[in-house]
Amino acid sequence: MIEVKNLSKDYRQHFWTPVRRVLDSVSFSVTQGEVFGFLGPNGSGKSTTIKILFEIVFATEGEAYLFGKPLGDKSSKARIGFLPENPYFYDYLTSRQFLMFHGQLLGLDRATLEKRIPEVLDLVGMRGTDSLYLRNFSKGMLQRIGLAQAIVHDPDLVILDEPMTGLDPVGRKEVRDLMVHLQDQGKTVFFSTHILSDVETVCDRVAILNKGKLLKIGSLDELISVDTKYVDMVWGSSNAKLQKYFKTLDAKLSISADSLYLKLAPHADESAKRFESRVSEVVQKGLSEGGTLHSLSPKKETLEDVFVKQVGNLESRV
Amino acid sequence: MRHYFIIAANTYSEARHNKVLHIAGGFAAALILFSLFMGEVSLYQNEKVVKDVGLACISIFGVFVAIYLGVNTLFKELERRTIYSVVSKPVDRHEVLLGKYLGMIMVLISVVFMMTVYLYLVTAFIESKVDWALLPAIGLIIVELAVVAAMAVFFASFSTPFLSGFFCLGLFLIGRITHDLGAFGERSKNPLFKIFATWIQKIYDLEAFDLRTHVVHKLPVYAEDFWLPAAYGLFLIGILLTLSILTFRRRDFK
Repeated sequence: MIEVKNLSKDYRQHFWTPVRRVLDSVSFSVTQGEVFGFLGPNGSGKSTTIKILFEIVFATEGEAYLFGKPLGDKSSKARIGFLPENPYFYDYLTSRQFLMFHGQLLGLDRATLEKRIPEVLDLVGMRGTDSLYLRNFSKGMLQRIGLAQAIVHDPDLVILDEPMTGLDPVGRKEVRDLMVHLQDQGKTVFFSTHILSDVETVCDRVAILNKGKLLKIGSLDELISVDTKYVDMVWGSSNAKLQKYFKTLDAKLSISADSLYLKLAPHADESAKRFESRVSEVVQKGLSEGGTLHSLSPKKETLEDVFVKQVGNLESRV
Repeated sequence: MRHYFIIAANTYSEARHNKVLHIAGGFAAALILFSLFMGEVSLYQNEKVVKDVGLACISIFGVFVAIYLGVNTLFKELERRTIYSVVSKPVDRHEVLLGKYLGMIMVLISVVFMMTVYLYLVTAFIESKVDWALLPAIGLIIVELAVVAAMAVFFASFSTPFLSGFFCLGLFLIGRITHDLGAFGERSKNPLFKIFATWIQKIYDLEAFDLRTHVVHKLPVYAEDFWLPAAYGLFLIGILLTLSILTFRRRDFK
């Protein structure tokens, strides 16, 4: 669906300022039917990559293909829906006129659009706004109407640049549901974001980008380790023997009036199995020392950990 | 072909909601009305003064609209990034540019049409017949406005509205004085200036679109007085739009 090979982009603010590379040899591909998350902090090159795909800006080096055809191919463009970042649309149009305009540019006839417009307005939760002018819309409503124009022609591939921006939690959930709905219909969704929870919820695969470089790409299972990162234990009684034992351990210990908090992490070269048996030993010993275990919670790695680890590998982002 | 008209209709709709144009139109209408009083203080020249001032108002207001729309319409599309959702569709960049231009021409024709009707209504106060002789002059005003709009689109394809407006107004004023420059050149004793001035006038002369004096003073207007300038105008428009397309097609929309 999308194939990007060694894409680079250089910008120059003015002719007297130095050239700045904002995208550096980025390569990835998106296959049919998947929801692909393009993750990265602000200014990492996500929007630039998307703009190159639509030839809004032109790549300095590299090449990209949509549906196996070079960029700019009209038959490919007709099969894609696009929502730009922070969209601003013609505010003198009503929802209906706006969708009619975009639908006609996509080659749909008036009769088809008359039927399709209420359907897409319904899909994005904007039913009944046909005759409202866009100038009266909130940011969230503009985002939704932008989504509506992206799917008005029932595209095979939907590319969304920061689709959650400006939406409240309910709106974000609705957009996530829409993505899942599109995927259920066999469509491919490619979206950029820096909101990690959205990615974790809907994405099949993720690419992490920072400072114009692609740092990591893969499925969530591939990126996030299934091993336990650390174990949190809360002990109910703080007798002296128990405290003495915990202090001998290589673990973080916090003591309060009536409880002990113990954070136990695996050693650098310790296997997951070995760590599990060590945790079990600590629990048994603690119980035998007269302690009462209130809670034990193993903490797994999250996408946020992976993201911070990757983005943190590079120096300042600007 | 269909895309040009869809974009043109949208540009027309946008201009229709533009308050600056409403205010400028009101001002021009007031000025035409005022020409009635100016005619009163002239000696038996009422009708000529009203027509002359009326046509001048149509031309000046038209030039303002052409420059204002030309430099702003494209810039707003880029500044507000509305162009992103248009060029992401199966639409070529030249279709966007020419569609916008076509929309501007539709606005200019509407504006000139409305002001012409208004001018005829005002002249109805001083003469009881409709003077159809004004129409060739009005036709050439439209051609001149189309040239100015093409200039504005050309500058807007690579520059900011302020600079584009500045360049466009400058080029328009130069076009209005090259006729006099050519006349000076013919009388000049400096051979270099003579060649420069006469050639400049041959290449670029907006005065060629001015039939005002002819129609107001009832001088004969022949077919070639209209068709030759009109063909020259189309030639200039062709060059300017080709240059605009070449500039616009590889521009990064940041």
